[in-house]
Amino acid sequence: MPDILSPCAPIAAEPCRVGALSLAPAPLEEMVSISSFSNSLPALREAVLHALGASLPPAPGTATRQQGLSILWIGPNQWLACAPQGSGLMEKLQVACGAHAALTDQTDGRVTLTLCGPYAHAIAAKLVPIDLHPRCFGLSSVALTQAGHIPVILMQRDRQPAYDFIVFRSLARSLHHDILAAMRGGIPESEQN
Amino acid sequence: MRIHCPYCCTRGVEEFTYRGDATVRRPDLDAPEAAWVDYVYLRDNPAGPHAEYWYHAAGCHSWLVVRRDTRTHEIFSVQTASEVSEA
Ligand SMILES: [Zn+2]
Repeated sequence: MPDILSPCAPIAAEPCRVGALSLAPAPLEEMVSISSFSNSLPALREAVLHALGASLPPAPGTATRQQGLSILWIGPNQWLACAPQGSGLMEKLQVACGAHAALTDQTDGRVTLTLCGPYAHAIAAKLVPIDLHPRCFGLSSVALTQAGHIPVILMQRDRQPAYDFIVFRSLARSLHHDILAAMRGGIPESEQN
Repeated sequence: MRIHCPYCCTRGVEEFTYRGDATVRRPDLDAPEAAWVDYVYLRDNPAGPHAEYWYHAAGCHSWLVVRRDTRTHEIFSVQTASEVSEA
């Protein structure tokens, strides 16, 4: 009989702190990607609203968030729904949207790292090549980009500011290392005001 | 060079992968061999405006048709490939 692998966390749960900045894995969530079938978008929007009580975000680069549930835009006609463990997200979506979209469970495939604290935007900006100024990237903004060479889904979680880096599980350690190195490098003087 | 993705706004070229000439069209199955050789192997190398496929690999994974001047890298338009094929 083969041994059954038991799940283990890709990185330690304890937050790493540098000054007032903190980096920690977010609590594990259920994640399901939703890819609309062709010509199914109006029906899918209605079905998601019915199943989750939240709408698919209307525009690219945004997320809908309410009471622990978030739905992120992750490409044309694609979204990532995230909900606390035990929500039964996949079951709810399958019943309501199975006919309108391809649903794929991503729960074990992704890890969310949260960077927060004063000047978190200046630390994140060392790694991602997009403009994080509030006029371009505000609360609940979403971007698909790369942090260094690691593909990430970036979302501003809080105005504090706090950013969620959603990353493939196998790259979570590398990204954690890179963000921590950026934190230890300090806040660039040019960013302080 | 920076490319304005219709979904992600303006991003650095490092997020994109060049996927070839967007003007070539597959010949009919019974087209002469010369037409297939041209389609598979031969490409123009224009100095000036050109339509190209770019794939937003490190972003939203869209295929784009970028019209660009190969001498100056000036970009005239960016459309999604699906939009172009439906037109
Ligand atoms: Zn894009």
